[in-house]
Amino acid sequence: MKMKTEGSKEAYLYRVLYIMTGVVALFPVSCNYIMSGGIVTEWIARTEELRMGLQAWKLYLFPSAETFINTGIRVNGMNSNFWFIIPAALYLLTGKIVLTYRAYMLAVQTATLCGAMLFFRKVFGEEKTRLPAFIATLLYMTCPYRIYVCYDLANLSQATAWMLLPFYGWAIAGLVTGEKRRKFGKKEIFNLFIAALLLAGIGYADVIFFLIATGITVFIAVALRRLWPLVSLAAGSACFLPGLYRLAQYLFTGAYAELEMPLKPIMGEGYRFGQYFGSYAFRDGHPGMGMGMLLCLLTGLWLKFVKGRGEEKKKGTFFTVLSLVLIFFSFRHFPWDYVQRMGAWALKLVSLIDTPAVFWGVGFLFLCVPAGYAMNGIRKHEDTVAAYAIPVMVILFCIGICVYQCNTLTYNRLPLITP
Amino acid sequence: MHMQQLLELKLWTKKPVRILLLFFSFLLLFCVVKILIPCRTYQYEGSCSFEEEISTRNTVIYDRISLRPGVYRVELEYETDTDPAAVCNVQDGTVFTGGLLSNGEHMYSGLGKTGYDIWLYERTENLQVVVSYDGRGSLVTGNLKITETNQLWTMLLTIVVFVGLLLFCLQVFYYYNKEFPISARKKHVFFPIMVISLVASIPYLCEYNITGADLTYHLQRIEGVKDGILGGQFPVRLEPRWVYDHGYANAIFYCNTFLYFPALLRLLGFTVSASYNAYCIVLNIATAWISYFCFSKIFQRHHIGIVCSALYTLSVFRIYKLIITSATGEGTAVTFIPLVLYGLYRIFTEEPEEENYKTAWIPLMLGVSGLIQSHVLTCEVTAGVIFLFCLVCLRRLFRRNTIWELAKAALASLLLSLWFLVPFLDYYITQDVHIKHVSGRTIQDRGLYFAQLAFHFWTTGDNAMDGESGMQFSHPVGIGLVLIVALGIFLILWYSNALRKKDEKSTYFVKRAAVIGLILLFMSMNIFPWDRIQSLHPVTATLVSSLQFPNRFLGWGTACLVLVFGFCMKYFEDFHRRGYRIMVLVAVMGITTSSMYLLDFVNRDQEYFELYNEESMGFGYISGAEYLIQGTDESKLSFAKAVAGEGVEITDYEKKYLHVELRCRNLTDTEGFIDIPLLLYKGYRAVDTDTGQKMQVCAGENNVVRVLIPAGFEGEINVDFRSPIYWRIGEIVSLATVILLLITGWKRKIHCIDLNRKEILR
Repeated sequence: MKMKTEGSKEAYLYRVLYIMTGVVALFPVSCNYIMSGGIVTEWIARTEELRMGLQAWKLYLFPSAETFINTGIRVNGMNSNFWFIIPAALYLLTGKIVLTYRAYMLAVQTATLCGAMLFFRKVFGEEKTRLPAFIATLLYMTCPYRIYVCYDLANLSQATAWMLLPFYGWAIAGLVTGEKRRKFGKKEIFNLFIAALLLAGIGYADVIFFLIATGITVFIAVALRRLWPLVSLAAGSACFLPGLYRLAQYLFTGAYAELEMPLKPIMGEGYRFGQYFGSYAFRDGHPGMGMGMLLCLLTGLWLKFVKGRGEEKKKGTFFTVLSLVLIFFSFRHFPWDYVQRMGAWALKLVSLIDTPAVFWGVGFLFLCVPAGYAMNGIRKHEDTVAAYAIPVMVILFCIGICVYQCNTLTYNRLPLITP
Repeated sequence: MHMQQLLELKLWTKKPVRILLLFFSFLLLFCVVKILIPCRTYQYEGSCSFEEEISTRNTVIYDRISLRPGVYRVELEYETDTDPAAVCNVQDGTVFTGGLLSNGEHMYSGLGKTGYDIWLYERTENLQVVVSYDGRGSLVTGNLKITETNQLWTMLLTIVVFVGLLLFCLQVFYYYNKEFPISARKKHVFFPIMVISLVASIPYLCEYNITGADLTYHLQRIEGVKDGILGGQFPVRLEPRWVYDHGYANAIFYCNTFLYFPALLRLLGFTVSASYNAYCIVLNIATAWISYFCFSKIFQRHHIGIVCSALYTLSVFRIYKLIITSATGEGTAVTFIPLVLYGLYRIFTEEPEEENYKTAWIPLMLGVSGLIQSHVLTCEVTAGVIFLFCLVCLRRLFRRNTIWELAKAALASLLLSLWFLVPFLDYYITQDVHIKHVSGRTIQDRGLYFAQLAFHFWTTGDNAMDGESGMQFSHPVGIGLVLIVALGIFLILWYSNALRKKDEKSTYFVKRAAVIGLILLFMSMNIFPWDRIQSLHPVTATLVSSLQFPNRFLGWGTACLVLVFGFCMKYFEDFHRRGYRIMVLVAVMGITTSSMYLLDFVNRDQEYFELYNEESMGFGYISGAEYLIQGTDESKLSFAKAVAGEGVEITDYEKKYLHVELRCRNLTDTEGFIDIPLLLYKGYRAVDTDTGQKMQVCAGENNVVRVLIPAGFEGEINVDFRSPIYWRIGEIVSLATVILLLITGWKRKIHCIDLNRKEILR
């Protein structure tokens, strides 16, 4: 009976912590205006066009060239409007763009929290404590790069992809966990179906994230020697056929020249080594890992180095390698220029990425796993003060830095004059 | 013992070690072969004239130049009559981003050709040499010569050796730890100290240089050492290329012992930015380890040493000096302050009759020597602080062994630094340099406001406290709230007689350190009567004026208060466990919310540049021109050729660094002269190469070297700089002291090992 009470207390505590995690990521939405800056005008233009289309019983799955050019923003040209249909419908009903924006961001952040909870609970499923899953979720929700993309850069296509990535991770994890040669039942078919839909969803949000997710899926399938992720990949790609067709047309033919999307080298825009360690402030659109993640990783290294007992689990190593590969893609010295020389299609594709920094963002998602394991390791530490103090400090740092980032952003940005 | 254990490991039998050694041996061999391959020279002929009053940008002078990867020297001949009228650079749109590094070079009328390095990391077929011209004066470019150097491969060799050694050490650690487990205590120390170093080095890991006010000056110092070595000087006394190839006596007055490391990296082919960043990273690591060593020895607890190391290495003052103002000299000096503090601690707290007391002078000697050889002004402050410590520990000072230890430290520091002090004093006494004429500069209005001392959330700021803007946007000058809190706690403990419980030798010393810390904080403020002290006497006027900023006392202030913080931690650990935890929390919160906060803002807000070749930053910036001969008009100095007096004809002239070879004849029957573009300092000599006779040298126009040419003279003259013999004696004495100290230290270590063995056998 006593155990049950303690268990429910713990559950209550974590519930409160999860809610707090969601709330801190919503601070900028609490303003009753849209902040200027970034590329938020691109989203508004898309929503406006969709609204007008809906009024005329037309559906613009992709923005028209005219709308795209009028925004003056030359990124996201290959991204669809799929996820903006509901906001557009809301806009049509209410006529209030600020309300639409706030409702959409509220939904995105809430769904991101749910997705992260699902994914990390799945990853840390066999752990006896909820701490690693919570810490990983917290790190993901307060990830400085994610906050930057959502509010500073205001790239709502990417924000949507950030929302879907953990869901997709959860679905893929469902496909690859368990025995290799198990019977493929209803549950697996459901997982396959969900994974395919989520992959397509990512594609409809941001085509570059679709390609990254595809690469990660192939990596997982090859590393774990599983076929089903590849099947889900094929199914997901089939669902995203309109977007893929558009992308192929852009890459391999002269189509969409009217969008005037720039062809540029991106190598110089990658992260400098020191920039990965930033917390409070950053330059060139390169937020660092934040002090929470830094403390988690240092704790993991410390356990490994001093105690000779890191998180030995294969899962932790796998996610560490995966994140390191992605982080290397975001590094300033990754030879993107060489990739671009592979042909006109490569030049266009790499230019479409816009900045290698996106790989840091995705890498961060997977880095949350070893970070979670590190917290699990410290929790078992014989020094009870360290076992409690370090996770508490991680929580405080994550929340503190996120609040700081959101506060400075809202403090420095003017309200956007909206239609 | 460790060596024996290492041999027992039989590393050569381990497969991963063999693979690593094989792989790196192959890489080394590859680099060595590449270094041995003769360098090529590419010559191109052509000419291009620029139309006056029409400015152009990146006009292509030569293109489709085909080069393999390497470091090259670009020499473009030109004629111009304006200084500087244009910039020559290279560009290539075909190589990958960052595959061609160069900042180019300004073109001067006195030079006639460029001579700058470029780093090319990818084979190219389309390198272009371009000129940006501002339309002033005439400009005609001529032939081009591109000379390959082997610096790319020496640089790679260095990297391969470094990475190879690092990986080898990791392997050794792995196997050693497996066989002979290394104590957790050692690991507990190593890990956090390296983390502290990493955090302090974040701005230097971004590849660029954050531009503080003094950055160019210190980069010039590094380049000066490099060029001095290339010019055949060792140790470097005059920076040959500084002040437009006129040779500047900066190294005489501002010791550059520690700058030989970045200069060596430059010689090996690293860029200016990379060499400087590597130096600062090494400096951070050294500061973290030295401060840990000193504070852990003082408190006899390694965890207190770690916290103190973090507070000191990441102190606001250090970040301000080293990063925000790029005061590399003072930043280097800060590294040695804990050693002096530890030396004083040992001298004034240990029992003079104990055997161990005989080594108490060593940290003091090392610290003072480091200070003398990094920053003379901090040395001046340190002398004052040591005097204060002697004053407050007067009763303990007059013990025979104590005075003897202090004297030993002073004497050894003096001997160790004699190689620098002899020329320094020689020039200071015999040369009428500008620094001797700056006693009118007041500093009181540059002092701090009381509120500044306890600031916590610092940002970069751009106000260097000149007394007009108050604290608005002021630079982060202070010691931070955390140390003030520690001081407050300590004073409360002292006042409430709680320190009586702790009857330890550290209490005696820390009480005095706290008082001195308070005095130093007071001296850094604008209410301290600096102006009045300055007006007392010409000597005080010179001393005060040379300080430039009262905030220089904060380095020592920080060290004293970190000591106080460590003491409070120790006190609470012994008597109040919860208080101890709060102190640890205060330290962590202080570092994460103040030091790291400041570091991030500095990294974001401060301007930065990436500098590859020294020529692009010019050769003219000499800060306050402190070491020019008084009366020299700085504005008239530029690249120039030798100027012959009436009736004297120069038939051949070549100048390389501080060495000039010229052939001339005096067509008249009176004495003539030749003015050589070298600033006249003591040590220049001119020799008639045919007869070996010395020729008379005196000050020429604007204090340049003037060689007097006898009537009817015809022949070849060599002009160069030679260190006087007594400078050389000073160098030998310093070298002998180093050797003597090393031998003594080694003997002592062997003696200790023998004693230990005997003890074990007993």
